[in-house]
Amino acid sequence: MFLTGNAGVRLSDGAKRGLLTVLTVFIGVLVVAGSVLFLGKNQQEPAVLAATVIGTASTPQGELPHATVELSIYPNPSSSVPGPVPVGSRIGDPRSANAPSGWPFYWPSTTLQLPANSLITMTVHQYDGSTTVWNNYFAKVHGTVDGTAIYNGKAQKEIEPDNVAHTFTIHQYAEVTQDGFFVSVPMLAVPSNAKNEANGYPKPQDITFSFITGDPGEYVWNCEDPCGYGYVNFGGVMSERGWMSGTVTVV
Amino acid sequence: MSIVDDRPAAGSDQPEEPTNRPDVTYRLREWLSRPYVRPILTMFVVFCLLVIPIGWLVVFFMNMSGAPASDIMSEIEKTILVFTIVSAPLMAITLTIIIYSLVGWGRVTGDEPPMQESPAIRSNAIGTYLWIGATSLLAAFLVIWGLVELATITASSYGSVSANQQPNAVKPIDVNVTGQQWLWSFEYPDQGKISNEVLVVPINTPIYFNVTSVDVIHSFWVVELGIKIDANPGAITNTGVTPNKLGNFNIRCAELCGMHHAYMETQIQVVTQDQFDSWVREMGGKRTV
Repeated sequence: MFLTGNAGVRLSDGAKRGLLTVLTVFIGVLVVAGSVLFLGKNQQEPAVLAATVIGTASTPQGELPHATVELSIYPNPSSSVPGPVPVGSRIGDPRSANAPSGWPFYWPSTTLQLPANSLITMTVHQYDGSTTVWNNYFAKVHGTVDGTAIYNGKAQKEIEPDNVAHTFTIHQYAEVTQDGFFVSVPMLAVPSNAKNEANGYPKPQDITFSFITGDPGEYVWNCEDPCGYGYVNFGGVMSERGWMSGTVTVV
Repeated sequence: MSIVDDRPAAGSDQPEEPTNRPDVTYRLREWLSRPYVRPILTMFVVFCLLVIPIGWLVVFFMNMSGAPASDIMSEIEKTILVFTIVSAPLMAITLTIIIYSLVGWGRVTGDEPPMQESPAIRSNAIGTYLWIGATSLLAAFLVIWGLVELATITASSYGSVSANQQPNAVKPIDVNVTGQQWLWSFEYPDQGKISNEVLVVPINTPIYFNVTSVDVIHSFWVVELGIKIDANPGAITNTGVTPNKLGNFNIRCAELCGMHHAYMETQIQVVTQDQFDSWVREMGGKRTV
């Protein structure tokens, strides 16, 4: 394959073609790997919000560890609540840009970590107005301990589809390695005539619900109310992680 | 001067003029003795033998995601297997000629064109007719088989007849399927309009799906049952199936529909009729008639 001459090592045509092929493949691998690393670095999930274990509780499945987690839903960012940083801004300048005005978001994080085989009580303070839910199935409460959620102190199995601002819906069904996990709770909207308080937001709707986690697993959650822009209202904020959707890791 | 016509008179019983054309056996032996024929024939046979098991491999890998749980999926798998087997000889001869052309006739190097080992083939009537005949027969077979299977599958999936017009002895169950980013939900209109995010159906009962979407286009797909149909916003599409195997199977979205498309899956649980009736009662619905 290698021919030697006065000028040093000379490669045959076949060897040149072989080397060129290897070089092309190597460059291709570098480009793909570089793209993956770049996108991965700039699309990191928000910081993890771990549920706080506060003791044990009696459940239909017996005595289980009890943990709580608290979230808020804001209709837009403010000086006190900056909101998530859009991916585009993160790429350009990691310290810039707050949430675009008019993009609702869950806060302080959409990356949740819950203890396995535990009772989880979640409280959501909801500050946003209504968007009629497309599918009435998501105006009902699913997957909670007794099939209800507590809306401002009152237990309900469903709310009016016209009064849904957002939903908190955990889903993803098991391939083989983890249990199915489905919880969906509609978030009651703030009345359209509600006046803003000193913090720039109206008095929130307080929604509390409890559900039981299974064995460890990775799940996603998202809002099922069409609160985005375009693509029949599932574009914009609804198509970017960290705003109205995120992950649930059961550990 | 007279002109003598020495041609045989019409109808005479004189023997035909010899043509010097060798007999078939000799020509076959001569053809086989050509340097490229035996390697090509050997490769053809080997490729045939290799390609046919690929059909079984395809079905094997399909079954890794779940064996058929309906007659529809069994028919689909049978079709894939048959199509692979009958296409094997054509694929084998094509591969053989390509590879032999690259390897067998590719050894000559240099700037000059290779010396001709034999005269260029201008035409070959036998080869032409054989190729046209074989491929035409194959194409005809595939079309006929495909149409018959399509009719069978359409009949099994109630593609054109609504549930209440089915001649089956067992009353079909209607299920309204709604896709949305990025979940499926199911409503049972004849069971008190109960709804669920997991599809529960009884075995050996025809199920008729009314599929729609509330946002973008999705696709309702159950591999093991052999059904897949688009869920379009503002329209209802229909398909159906009769599950014949108990178990849990995955329902997936087969249309790229946004950020969480990969997570848009749920389960179909095929249970006994008694279990289904119990589940309906638990959900507060009406028992199946």
